[in-house]
Amino acid sequence: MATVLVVDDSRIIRNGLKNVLERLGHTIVGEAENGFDGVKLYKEVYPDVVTMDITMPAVSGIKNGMDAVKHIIEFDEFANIIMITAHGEQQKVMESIKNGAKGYILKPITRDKVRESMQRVGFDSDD
Amino acid sequence: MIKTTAGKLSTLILVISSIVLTISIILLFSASNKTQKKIYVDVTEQLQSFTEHKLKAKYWIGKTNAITLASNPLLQQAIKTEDRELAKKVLDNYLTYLTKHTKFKNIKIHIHTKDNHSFLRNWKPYKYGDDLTSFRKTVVYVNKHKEPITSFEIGRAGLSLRAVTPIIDENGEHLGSLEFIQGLNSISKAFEKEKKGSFLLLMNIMSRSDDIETFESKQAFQYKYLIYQKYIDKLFLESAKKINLENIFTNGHIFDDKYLYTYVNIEDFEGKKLGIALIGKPLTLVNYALEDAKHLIYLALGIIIFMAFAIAIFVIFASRRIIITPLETLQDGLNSFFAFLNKERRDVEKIDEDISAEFGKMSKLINTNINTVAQTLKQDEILVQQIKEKSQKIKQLLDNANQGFLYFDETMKVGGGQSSVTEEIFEQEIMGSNITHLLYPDDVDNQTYMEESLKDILTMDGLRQELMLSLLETNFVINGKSITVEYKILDNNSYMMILTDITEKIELDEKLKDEQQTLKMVIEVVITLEQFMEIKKDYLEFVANIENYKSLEKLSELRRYLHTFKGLFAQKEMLNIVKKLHSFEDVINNSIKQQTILDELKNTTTETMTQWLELDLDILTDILGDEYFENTNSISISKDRILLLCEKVKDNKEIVSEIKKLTYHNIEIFFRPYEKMVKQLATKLEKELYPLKVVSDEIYIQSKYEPFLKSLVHIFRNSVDHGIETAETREELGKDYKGQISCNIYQTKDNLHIDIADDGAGIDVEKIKQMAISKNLISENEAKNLDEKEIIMFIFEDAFSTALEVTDISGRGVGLASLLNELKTLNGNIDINNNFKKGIEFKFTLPLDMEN
Repeated sequence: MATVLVVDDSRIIRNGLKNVLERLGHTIVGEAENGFDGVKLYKEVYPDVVTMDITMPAVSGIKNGMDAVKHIIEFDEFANIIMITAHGEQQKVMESIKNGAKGYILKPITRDKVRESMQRVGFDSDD
Repeated sequence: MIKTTAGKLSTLILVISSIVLTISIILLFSASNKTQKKIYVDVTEQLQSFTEHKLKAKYWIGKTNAITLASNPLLQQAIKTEDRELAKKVLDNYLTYLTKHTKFKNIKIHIHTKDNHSFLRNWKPYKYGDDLTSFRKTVVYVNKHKEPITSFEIGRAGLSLRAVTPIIDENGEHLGSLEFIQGLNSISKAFEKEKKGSFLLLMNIMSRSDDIETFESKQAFQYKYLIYQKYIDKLFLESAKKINLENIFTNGHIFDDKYLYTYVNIEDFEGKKLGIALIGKPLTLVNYALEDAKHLIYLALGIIIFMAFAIAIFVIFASRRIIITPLETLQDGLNSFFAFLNKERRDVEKIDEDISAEFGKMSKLINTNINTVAQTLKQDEILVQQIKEKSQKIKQLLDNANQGFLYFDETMKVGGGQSSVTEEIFEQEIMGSNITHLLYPDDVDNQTYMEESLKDILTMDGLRQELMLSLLETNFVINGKSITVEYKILDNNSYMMILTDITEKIELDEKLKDEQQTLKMVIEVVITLEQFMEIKKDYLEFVANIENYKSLEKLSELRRYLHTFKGLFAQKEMLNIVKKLHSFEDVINNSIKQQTILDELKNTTTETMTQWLELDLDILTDILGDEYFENTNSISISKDRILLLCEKVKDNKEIVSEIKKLTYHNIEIFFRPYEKMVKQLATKLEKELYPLKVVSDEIYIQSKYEPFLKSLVHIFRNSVDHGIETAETREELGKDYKGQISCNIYQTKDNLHIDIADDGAGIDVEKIKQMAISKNLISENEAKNLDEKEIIMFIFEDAFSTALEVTDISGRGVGLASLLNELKTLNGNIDINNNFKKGIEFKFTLPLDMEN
């Protein structure tokens, strides 16, 4: 069971992730709708896992999810960041992994994918 | 650099020996220096004490003789009577006797009166009466204190050792004093005789009395001194004249190349310094002792050097025997063992275990392991052989399995060892080529990107590598072949790539898909043969009359027909005609130029459109046989014939009703195809759906309802396509990830009710409103006055679509329009319960013919 910070500019995706994660027994400790807030919130709540959308609007110098990964890793090199990505974003995902992300979930988001990704960064789920 | 153990050991020993030697030599030389100093001091002390000893002897001799003579009664009488002749006689007798029987040759005796005047000098008897008070302190002292004294003093005859004693007669009357004077020649002679060295009495000029006889000046010694000795060692004097006396006074002794010099102070009885006795010893004699000591030291040094070298050589030889030889034995043993390990030798020998205790133990240990390793190796060899055989087999397998593999490292250069299939895939020699150039022959951007990624991945940890590998492109088209690749990382620094040629598989898959598609069509047609025949008939009728629709005014009607037929044929899985209809639709819907549309209409004749259908019909008849559509197992009676029958039996109501029922259908059968369609559509659109739930009363309907019931296809399509969200969106929204479409059919009094509901997204009324405004269907002001249902009804308008993307399934906006058209034909009504984001329900109400 992990504490999770969800960073995504789409409220629908955030809610969806939240539902899936909570049903899997994890706790959502924060939500952010852009990379800047995500990085800020990370430093406040220090979650076990972050889900990070790749494509988000630039806010206060943080251009996108990849950029946010860089900042979080700078702050905590052991951060568990899972990228949320769509088809055709492979290069961005690779860039994020180079920056320190530990996993990715290819949309559409399903319970199985989320469970597997959480498992990969070391957190078991319910059912 | 010396590398061997023996060399290092020898060097070490030599270094230690040298250090020991150096230290020894330094110690010995310092000892020898100390010895020299000590010997000089010793000799100095010997010389001085010998001198003092001799002087003391002379003191006592002088004193004894003086006292003896002074108590001679004859002499006393001669003084009382001032009889100098008598006194002289006494002294002469005494001296003659003394010189004859002793070594003392240079003795002078001087008698003084009690008032310090000279009474008699035995060596100058004619000279008497002179007053001695002024310069003879000893005489004055003795006459005054009436006690004997011995001291050096300078008299008229120069520096002499003088023993003075009072002369007192038997009645105690003081008569005068007697002086016994000795020279120091005898000491000088004694030095020479006893080989003690040389003795030279020097008088300080400053202390000399004025009337010292002039000859003495010839005896001047270094200006400050006069030599006051008759017996002189000439050689000693010659050397002594060159020395610096001041240095003697400072150091106690000095030496030049011939003598070691020292001195003894000559003082009078009051402690006044009168001169010195310079004494010396030839260095040859002094150094005799020193040479002895030095010889001893050199001998010791020699022994040490010899010992050091002897030990060094011994240790070197011993170490060779104790360490090097066993080590070499061990080395030889290990060499042969390693040669065996490296397969340069077939067998292995054990190491001699007797070489020495420790090495023996070591050898024993190694031997034990040699046995084990040798056995393991033999097993390994068998294993390796097996693996080789297996790899050979695998390679052969891969060579024959359309699967190739190759290796490359961080340089991206393909290494050797690839399979023959790999070369077939690339159709060229690939060894040494850059892998990214092979995969993307003309795409520099992708080459660069892939090269960077592949290099980066090698620097990452296992978890990241796995993630990154899963993101790499796996499908490539190489020389027109479809290739999928699989990446594996070997030893963390190179890649193995497995390439599979899936061209044939894709072709097969497509063929299989076609076949399946055909089969689906056949089954669909066979199951719903009746319906199919109906559609076919309708379509052929429509096509026969196609010229009637070939005007711009009739265009929307034509679109509706086309769209409906497209949907109907799609339901029957007749994909060839669906494709044709779709592209026709596409041209007349989306062309900007009217002329293009008109041309298309002109070219699309009854004949062409019939041919479209025949594409699929040919396939069907190929499979089912030419006669199928005429002679099926079921009894097929044309409807026209039934109607004719009814005409014939119209008087018998009961029969008519039953016969007519033949033309009636249970409404449910019209929905059965929808169950299947919904399922297929969901699969195609990747939507998760529960099976369509149709709940129906048993209602028989006339054929006039059929067009409407068929047009319901648009409701179902829209529901699956636009209504039901994707599974993940549903999850995000907290809905069941599977959607549900349900259909409820029931009868109330005179009405037939069909409620179709889904739990999908519902309709975004605001969006519809905005679209209606943007399509100029209404003004903004009008829009404000419309209620929700009125707005939703826009979706039933021609050319209105909420879908952003037009698919061949729905979204042209004509489907619902045709539905509404059919509904109106039957005087039906529609009611809509819209719940944005939760679902929508369409409630259709149709009047039922009372005939039912």
